[in-house]
Amino acid sequence: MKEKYKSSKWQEVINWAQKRSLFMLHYCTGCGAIELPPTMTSRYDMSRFGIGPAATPRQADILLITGYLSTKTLRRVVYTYEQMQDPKFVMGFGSCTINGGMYWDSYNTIKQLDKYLPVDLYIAGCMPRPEAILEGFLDLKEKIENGEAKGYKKYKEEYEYYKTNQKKVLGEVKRRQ
Amino acid sequence: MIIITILEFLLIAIFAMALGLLFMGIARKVVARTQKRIGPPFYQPYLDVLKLFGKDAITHGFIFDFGAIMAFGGMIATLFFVPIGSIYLYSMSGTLLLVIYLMAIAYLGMAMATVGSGNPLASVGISRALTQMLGYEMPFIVVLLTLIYSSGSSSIVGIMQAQQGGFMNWNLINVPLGTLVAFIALLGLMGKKPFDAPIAPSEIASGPVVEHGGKYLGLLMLQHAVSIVVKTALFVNLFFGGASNILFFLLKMLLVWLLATLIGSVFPRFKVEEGVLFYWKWPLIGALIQAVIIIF
Amino acid sequence: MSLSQIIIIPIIISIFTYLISKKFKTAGSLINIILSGYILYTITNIYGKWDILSQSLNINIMGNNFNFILNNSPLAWLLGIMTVGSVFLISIFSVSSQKNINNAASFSFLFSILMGSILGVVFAGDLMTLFIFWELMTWSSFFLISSGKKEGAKKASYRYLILSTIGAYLMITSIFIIYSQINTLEFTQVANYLQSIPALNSIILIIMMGIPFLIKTGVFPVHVWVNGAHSNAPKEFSPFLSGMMLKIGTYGLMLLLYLVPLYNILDTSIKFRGLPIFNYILALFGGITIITGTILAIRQEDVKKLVAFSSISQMGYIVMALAITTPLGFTGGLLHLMNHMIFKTTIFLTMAAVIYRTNTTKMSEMGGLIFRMPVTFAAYLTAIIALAGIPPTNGFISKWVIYQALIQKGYIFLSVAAFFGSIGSFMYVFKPLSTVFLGQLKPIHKDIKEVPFLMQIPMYILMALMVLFGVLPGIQMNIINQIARYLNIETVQSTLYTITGAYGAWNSLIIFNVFVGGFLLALIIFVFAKKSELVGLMDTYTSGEYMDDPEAYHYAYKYYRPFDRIFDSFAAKSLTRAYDTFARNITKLGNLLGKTIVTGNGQSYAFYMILLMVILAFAGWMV
Repeated sequence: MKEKYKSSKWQEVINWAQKRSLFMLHYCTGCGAIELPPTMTSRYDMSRFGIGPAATPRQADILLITGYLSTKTLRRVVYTYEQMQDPKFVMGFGSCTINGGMYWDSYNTIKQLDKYLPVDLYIAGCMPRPEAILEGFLDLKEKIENGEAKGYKKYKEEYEYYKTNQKKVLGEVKRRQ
Repeated sequence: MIIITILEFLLIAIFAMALGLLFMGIARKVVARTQKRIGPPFYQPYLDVLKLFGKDAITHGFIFDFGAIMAFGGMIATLFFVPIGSIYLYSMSGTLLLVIYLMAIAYLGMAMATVGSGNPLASVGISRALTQMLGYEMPFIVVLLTLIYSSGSSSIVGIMQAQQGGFMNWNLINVPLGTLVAFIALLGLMGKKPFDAPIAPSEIASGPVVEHGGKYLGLLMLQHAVSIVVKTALFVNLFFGGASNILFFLLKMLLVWLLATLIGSVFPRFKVEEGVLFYWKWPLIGALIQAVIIIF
Repeated sequence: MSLSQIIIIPIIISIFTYLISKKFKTAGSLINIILSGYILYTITNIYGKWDILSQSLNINIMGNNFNFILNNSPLAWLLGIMTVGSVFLISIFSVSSQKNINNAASFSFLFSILMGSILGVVFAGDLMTLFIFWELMTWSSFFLISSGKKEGAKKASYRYLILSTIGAYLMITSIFIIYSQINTLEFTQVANYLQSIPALNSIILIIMMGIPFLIKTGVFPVHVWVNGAHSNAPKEFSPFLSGMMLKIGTYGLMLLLYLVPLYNILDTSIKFRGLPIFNYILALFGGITIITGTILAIRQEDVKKLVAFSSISQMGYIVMALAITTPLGFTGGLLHLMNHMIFKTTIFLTMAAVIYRTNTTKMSEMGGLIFRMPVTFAAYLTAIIALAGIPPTNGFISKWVIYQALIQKGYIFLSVAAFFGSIGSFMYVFKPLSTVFLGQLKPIHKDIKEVPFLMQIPMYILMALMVLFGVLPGIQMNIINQIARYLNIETVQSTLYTITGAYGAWNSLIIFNVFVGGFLLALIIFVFAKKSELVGLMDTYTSGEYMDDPEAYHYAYKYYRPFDRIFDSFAAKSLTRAYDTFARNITKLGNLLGKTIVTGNGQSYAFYMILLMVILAFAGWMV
């Protein structure tokens, strides 16, 4: 994609729309996923911010990692992330994604999601309440508007770094093609 | 002359797309309200489409591209044979059956694109969609034949004109059972809730559109928007007497759409063969009774 | 060239074809191309010369004077040119496809005879000529079907032969009854005779004559031979069998329904909505054929069987439309007859191309061939669009006319059947599209290439024809109107691109315009949006799971399982099996009788003799 095309007025319109329309792929690996149903349904209703669930990574904008990731699931998450299309954002959900949380000494979970995928925003808490989740989404919208949510670019630029880290826990990551 | 036709063509197409997206937005709002939610703003679908066209996309080869174009182009072509109020580009006689079959080309395009992606979930979705189509089309078409027979014209404009002269002349009053059956069929035709097994997001990951992202999903969303306009307009023309005033016509369309949405928002899903059998039971019997009453 | 030469030359040349192609395998098909090309040219030249070219040959057999007549009528001309045209195209196709086939020589030999005999059937001017060529056609096609390599070929061809023989006996009996009454078998005189005798007698004669035609058409109770014959015949012969042979049965029906106006005979009988009950029952059988064919086609896992059942269902349309005997029904039936020949030949040819490359007919053993065989795919796609009756191809126009005919008279059940077949056809034509051409490519098919250019030529021609007749149906309407005038039927109004039905007219030009418009708009939006990135077919959403095996990742087997579940109990009641059981029981009965009657005891034979004499004496006394 040409840089000129990117910074044009058209791109601003797209960014504006992007901010208001976010399809979310919630990868429910951990216990935090239980907080999502109230966030989505009548009590908190996140659809009023234009955020809705997506069924497949092809359609999604946000990858929501809800809790701890075992090494087994990390492989799938990396896979899913690579199937998503730019611009895409990763949100770490709960303390497990920040530092391992209560699984800080587990042999089988990863402690820091940031090492394997470019996280744009963390929602702290074990587990975060729906209010906190909504707050997180609003922050992400702001970041998108300010152009700070550049995780997907970072992933491309520092691909080697992420790949080495992924290799360290997973061994050779099988990729399509 | 040709330029005017082309301009008309573009205007109608853009109008229909905008209207369809608006309807989708209203439906989302209405569904949210029935579930005691606030729901997204009514202009949300516009934002979605805009965003989707700005996103990157992947393709699975030329059939994936061609199918998306065929789906959208086929639906746009269908649009021009369905009068919206007094606006229509072509008023050829004999359009009613044509419209039913023209819609099929959009489905065929979509089916080809989705199966061309190589994802089995898409194939499952298509197999369900085609199966269900055989279900709802049977009663629907029996009603259409009854209408053609009773109004002596197989064009949509002709059937609309046969209902001129007030509320009592509408097919809603003259063919009440048929209207009910056609409405149930319309739910299936639009993939509304009791009959949304083909896209079932929770079991087959939105079925046919599982591999569609970016502009492909955008095109299909536009296609869906146009198809909503086509189907509701068709229904209004056939059963609600159409309207010469565009405003009244839009109101009637909205009424039909809201009714379908409300029904869709409270029902769970039919299993696909149960949906087919349902259509072949009561709606088909109703349609046949109506046909016998009208024809004999 | 006279009509008799048109018929005799292929039959004579076939012997030379056989001898030459024993040495050089491709020679047989090449000779057939030249032969059929030449006859095609000749038949084109005799267009418009109706009744002028008629020939007759008088033969005296044991004091009975048989007059063999050949005559050129618009209907005969139409079927003649269709026959020769499809032989021409299939011969082009089989030059390459039969390179490695052992029985190529006998194929060319029989194919040539078959062409001559079908021309004899359609140009026949009297029943005896028709019968002779009819039998020649049956036998040559029987040998062609049984030359299929598959293990079921023998059984399938016997089933075909047995049904045909039953039909032939009935036909020859009725022919001799008629001959004994009026001493001539010329069509118009037979027609006059049938109208002059009491209605019941003539109906019995007509039913006897009609059954072989119904068997060849493959109408419901006697459709059992069609699927076996089609799926087991050599892959090059299936297109002809489905595209042309079934239509010859329809030609016979047309003779009965229109040349011998069944309508007039039955004018006084019970009527249903203005249609004699006999015609209505025939139309009803057409409707049942449509439904049966559709449901069974959806279930098939073998691609040739699927297309064969779809042929059964499509022939139901033709029978139904012709049986209605209104001008619209006649026009719709003939239009569908032509169009079905075009698109069904295409479908079988593309399938032959696929089989040629993959050596299998099971749909679940193929997949993803679109990137390997794009031309075949394009031809198949056009053909199924036509078959499913989607504009702007020819299939929609004929279905539209048939629907108009049905609605005009308000036949509800027939319309339901017609629409069931039409929408069901989406299902069964999409199955091969999805499982053979789309989806994952099997690893063993990685190196498959497109078929040789010679095999592509017929596909190009047929594709062009489908779109041409879809946009300009007037070309077909021209000949149909001539046939209608020849048979004294009202014609349907039409111009080059419009047809006027009962309720409204059809204008294919507008539709074509709108289509182009819609596609251009979609194309513009598509092109101006961001470019997309090409990824492989295995890089799809799998819920994060790894998939390495394309074979396991291809959804092909039992494609419509939920739908099939509805009809499982229906499909379990196989008519074929019922006939087989019947045949077995007959054999058992025969054995039983054999044991009790043929005792090998001289006394019992003497007893039979006496019994016979007593009966004869009694009969003589009674008379």
